[in-house]
Amino acid sequence: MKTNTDQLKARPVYTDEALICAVRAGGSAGDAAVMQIYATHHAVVKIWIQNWIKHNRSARTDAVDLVHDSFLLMIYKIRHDVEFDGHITTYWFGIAKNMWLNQHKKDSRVILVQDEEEFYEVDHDTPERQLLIREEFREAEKLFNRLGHKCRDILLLWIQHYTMEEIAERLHLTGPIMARKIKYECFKKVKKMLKYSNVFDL
Amino acid sequence: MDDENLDDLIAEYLSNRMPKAERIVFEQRMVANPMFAKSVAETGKAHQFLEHIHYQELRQKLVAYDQRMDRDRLVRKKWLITLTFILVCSFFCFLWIHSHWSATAIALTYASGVRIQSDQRHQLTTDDLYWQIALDTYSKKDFKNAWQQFIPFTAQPENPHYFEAQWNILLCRLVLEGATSEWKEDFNLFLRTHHGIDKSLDAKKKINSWQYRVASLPCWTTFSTINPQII
Repeated sequence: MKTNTDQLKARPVYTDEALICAVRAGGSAGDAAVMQIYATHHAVVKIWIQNWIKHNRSARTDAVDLVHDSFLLMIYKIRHDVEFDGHITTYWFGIAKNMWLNQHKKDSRVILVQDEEEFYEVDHDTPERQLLIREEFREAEKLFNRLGHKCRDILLLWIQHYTMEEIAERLHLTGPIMARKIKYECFKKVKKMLKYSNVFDL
Repeated sequence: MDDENLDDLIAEYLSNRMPKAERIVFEQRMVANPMFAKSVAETGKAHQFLEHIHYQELRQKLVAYDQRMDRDRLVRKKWLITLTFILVCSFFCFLWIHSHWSATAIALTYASGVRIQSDQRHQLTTDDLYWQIALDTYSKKDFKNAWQQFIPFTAQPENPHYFEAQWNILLCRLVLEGATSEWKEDFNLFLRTHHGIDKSLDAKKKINSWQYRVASLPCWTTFSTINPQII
């Protein structure tokens, strides 16, 4: 699968609503919209986060990591149809702030008061549990990579809601029927692979 | 429903894309059919795993994008610094050329005339006084008036300031009119007829140099008022 960012070079201008719709719809347009949201808003959010961290006198959290983490969570929420009002930047910053607060709470064991409106749900994992998940996940990823490039690409495109036509075109397959068949076989292998792994059971 | 469609249906349910009515039916089916619920759980696990892989790749894409932006910013910064350096150097270089090769600078450097001091042995004549006034006007860069004030000294070849006055008038014309073809003719005529002023050959070299041509560019008219001594 192409992982370069060339799609950003010549991008038309869309409104926030259009970009969110594209992300929800998925496919190649959604993929491009995700990167466009990042390209358009990340500079502002990064400055806000840096100021926020500075204001709260914390040197431990890396602003860049927080920008990335909060962006991924925001995209996840948009894709899973979580409704929100307002701007992408404020939503993104709200998520980042909440992630930072949770992290800070864990680190310092200090209860910070926050507005109920600003609350966005984040998982509360212990470090031990996170470590175990990471280890299990790494093992599963190794197995997944053994399935081959074609399987990997086709499944990752499918998970992003690419249509079978788009997948066939992108991976130079004979057609959508062939793409569907390969996807089915590959997904079956992944299910089998994960059947005895407790990667998400922890 | 075949397994292929079932995967898609479960994926639709898991990604929250299923319409509400269908969702209720789907959930009822899960409750009623444990095998189906197990199948959903397995598919959900695989789905979740693939999403994790996808978000990992997306993170790498973001890092790559940031790195590319940083690289571009650095390249832009370098170019900006280089350009600023070139511009500043060019500006000072042009100022230096202007201060040494402009018509005004040449006129002030190569002006001819000795200031006469009065003492007990030598009393100033009216001519000496007018000559001093003309030189003062010239040094104040009032070339138009200085030109007029030098003219009376060129009326009589016997006048002690005859050659110097002619030379200074040529310099005044250089400042006011530039090195026109007419001026060059007069200048060459002066060189042929009078060899008394050594400065004239040096001045000719300067006027024929490329620096003089640069300093005479129209853009320098704004700098014409700047005193070369200050620069």
